[in-house]
Amino acid sequence: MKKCEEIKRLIPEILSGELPEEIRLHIETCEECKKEWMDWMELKKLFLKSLPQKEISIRPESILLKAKSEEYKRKKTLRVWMFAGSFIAAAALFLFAILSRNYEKISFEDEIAISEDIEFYENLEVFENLEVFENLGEENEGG
Amino acid sequence: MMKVKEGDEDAFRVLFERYRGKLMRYIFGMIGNYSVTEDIVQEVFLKLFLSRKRYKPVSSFRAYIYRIAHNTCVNFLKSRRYKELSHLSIERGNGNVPPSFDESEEERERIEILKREMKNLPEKQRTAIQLALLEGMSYEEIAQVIGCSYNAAKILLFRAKEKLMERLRDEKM
Repeated sequence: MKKCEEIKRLIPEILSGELPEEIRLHIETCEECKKEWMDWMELKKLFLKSLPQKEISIRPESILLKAKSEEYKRKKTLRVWMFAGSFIAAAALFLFAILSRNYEKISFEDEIAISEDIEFYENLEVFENLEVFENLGEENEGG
Repeated sequence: MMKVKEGDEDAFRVLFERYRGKLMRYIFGMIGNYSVTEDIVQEVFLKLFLSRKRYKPVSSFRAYIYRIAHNTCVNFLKSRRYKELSHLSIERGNGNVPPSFDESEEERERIEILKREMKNLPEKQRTAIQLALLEGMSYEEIAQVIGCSYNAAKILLFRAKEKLMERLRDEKM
């Protein structure tokens, strides 16, 4: 029984090859395995007859030509992307250099000037307020 | 394939000659339309050549090339073009195959039943049985093509075979 199961398992794998002697002998004597073998052979025969027998009209040359043109296109696209990539990288570097240079200027030279400016405007605001108060005082005195 | 990997075009031609007929029959069995089958065969060989540099030797080159074919067919079956073709009621399974004069009336009927039932099988079962009938592939190779386990391939194959034989027996009665 175990042998039958093993043979049934093997049958689909030996459909295209030569039937091993051991299996052939078993099939001749075992009705169950013979039926399994006949089923597979019937399916194979019908299936092969259901398929077109004519050859395909494609030639390997046309595939090779298409493959080469595809590869050329891919290389070209890759080159364009590499150029675009290096251009973007260069532009980014340039921008970074400019920005970092400006940033340095502000931090070393203009920082003091800016803080002085701030101080000046703050003082100016105080003086303006004082002036307003003085004017108000004069008006009150006058009135 | 290792020679093709190195750019040997003659080796590619040899591979093409060796597999074109079998692949054509396999793809026709999946798609059922002759002109589409030609396009897909071309696409399979194109993919094979374009991916040659990435190729790593595998246990079965046959399973490798059939896997490319299987995936290309599955993609096509999911595509809009296939739906359009189905809409135009292009018959799957008999496409442009004329009946042969060698066949008896009974045999022709049985072939028609088989075509119809093949078409009704789930895609993986259909692939499994076609690979077995066309190539006598091992379960291991079928599993590689479909992308499933050894046991799953075994089950797919036996279920497909049982369904087909059942229908053929029913019609015989």
